[in-house]
Amino acid sequence: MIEVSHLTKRYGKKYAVRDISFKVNDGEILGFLGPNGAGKSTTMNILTGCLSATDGVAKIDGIDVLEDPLAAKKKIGFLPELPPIYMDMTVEEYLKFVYSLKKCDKNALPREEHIADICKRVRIDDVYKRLIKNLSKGYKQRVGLAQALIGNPEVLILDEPTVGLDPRQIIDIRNLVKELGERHTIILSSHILPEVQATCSRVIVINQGEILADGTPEDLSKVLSGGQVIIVKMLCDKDAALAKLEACPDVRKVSFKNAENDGSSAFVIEGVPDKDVRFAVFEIAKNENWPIIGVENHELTLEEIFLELVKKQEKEKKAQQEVEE
Amino acid sequence: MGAIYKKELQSYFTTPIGYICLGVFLFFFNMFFVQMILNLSSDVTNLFAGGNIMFMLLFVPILTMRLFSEERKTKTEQILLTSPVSLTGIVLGKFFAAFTLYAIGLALTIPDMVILFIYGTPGFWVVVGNYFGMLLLGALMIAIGVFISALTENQIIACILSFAVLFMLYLIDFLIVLIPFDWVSTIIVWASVYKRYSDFTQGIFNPAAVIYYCSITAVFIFLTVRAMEKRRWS
Repeated sequence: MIEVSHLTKRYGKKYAVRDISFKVNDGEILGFLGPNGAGKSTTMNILTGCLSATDGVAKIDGIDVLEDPLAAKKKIGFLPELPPIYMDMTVEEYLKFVYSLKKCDKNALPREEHIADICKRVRIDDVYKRLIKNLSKGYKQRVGLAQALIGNPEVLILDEPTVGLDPRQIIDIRNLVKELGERHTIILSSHILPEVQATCSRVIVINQGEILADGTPEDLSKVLSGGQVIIVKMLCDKDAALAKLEACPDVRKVSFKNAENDGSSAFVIEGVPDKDVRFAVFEIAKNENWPIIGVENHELTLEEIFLELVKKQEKEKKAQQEVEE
Repeated sequence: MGAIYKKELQSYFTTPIGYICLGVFLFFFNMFFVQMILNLSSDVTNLFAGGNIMFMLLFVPILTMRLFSEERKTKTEQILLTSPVSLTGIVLGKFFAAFTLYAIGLALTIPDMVILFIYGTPGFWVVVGNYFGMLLLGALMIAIGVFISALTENQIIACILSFAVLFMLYLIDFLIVLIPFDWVSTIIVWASVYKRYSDFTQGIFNPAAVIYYCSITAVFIFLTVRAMEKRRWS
């Protein structure tokens, strides 16, 4: 559906995006993960035709966005970082404006029904007659989303759709995106890992304009950590437990995290690949008679994934240099 | 283009801008009109070329200042740039919206002319010529304002710059006498935006003037499109 090859965007000497290539298949929800300034928005702006690329090709459904922009744009619904809404219009006026701006087919998508349907889906039908400037941030974001949906585009590009929303709204929008994923191909960007994990079937990690990793969210944290990482809280002597755990063959790495208020100690334990380290920990605790208070999976945060990936990238580069020398 | 035209024209009237612009425009126009009547004159040329042009210098920048700069600042231009409308379509939509508001202003002065025809004897073709010329001159001034609005994201800067440019074009006719080189002043007289207007004040529809106004307007619309395109490529 979306095909990007060797895309580069340069501002003077600075690369905003450098030689990026990827493909998005029909019906996929792709997450773009990266810190601020990584090149997520730039890539999205190029895909939607807001910006031009310095080099490379971006194709939507086989149509080059630079060669036939009007045809390509018809297939895209775009929600930029700031929703492009006109404050002095009502929701109704705004959506009607977008409808005619996008030159929707009046026979295939009758105006009133189409707009009403979208309003229901993003749940803004209760503010339909209100001025946009009087709406709350969450509603504004949803009006922005409604705008992207008008015309039933095959591709949806959402730039940080949940930024600035309260937790309930975030969950709402995530569910909405998942729902939309059944009908559309979606690219969304985020700098929050759990969000991407919750909604996307595939993730591309991007930093300083380059792709660091590409895969499913599970793949990503597995590849990075090598094995399962858990946090265990036990009522025990800290040093004795550390020694015992380190001696266990199934444990690759163990570190003391902190002492809890209830007198237990928390440890971060990394297992060897392809083995469930929880069994080994349980055996030790049973033998030593240390009550386990809690076990939880340790999710890698974006920062950790990031540091790992950047480290890996640097290592590879160094290795390459050495080979060349 | 149609959608943008409609939206822009509507937004003149959902915000106070349209009403204030029209109100002020009509206030000054009628003030000059009353003064003309009190002078027992029916010399509409003085009304248009003398009075009207002066306050169009102020009126046009206010009409055009927000057209592109506001959208750029609030990032709403992204919806225009990602919709299946060409840049030319966007620019033309906005240009014609401003031009329509201006034409509405002019149309609202027609009752004055009716009064004049009832009680006086102005030359019919002189009046028509003046209206026609005003439309052409207005189109050109609006095109300049639209272009300047596309250059900045600050409305105030767009307004002041447009005013400065239009005022300079106006002043230059008076500064010609100070230029010691004949060939320079010849060129300026030829290119002068306001000098060309004088034919219309006599009811002469000089094709050269019509072509001149239309082509300069087209040039500025083209430049606006290029300015938008350039930002995409920068």
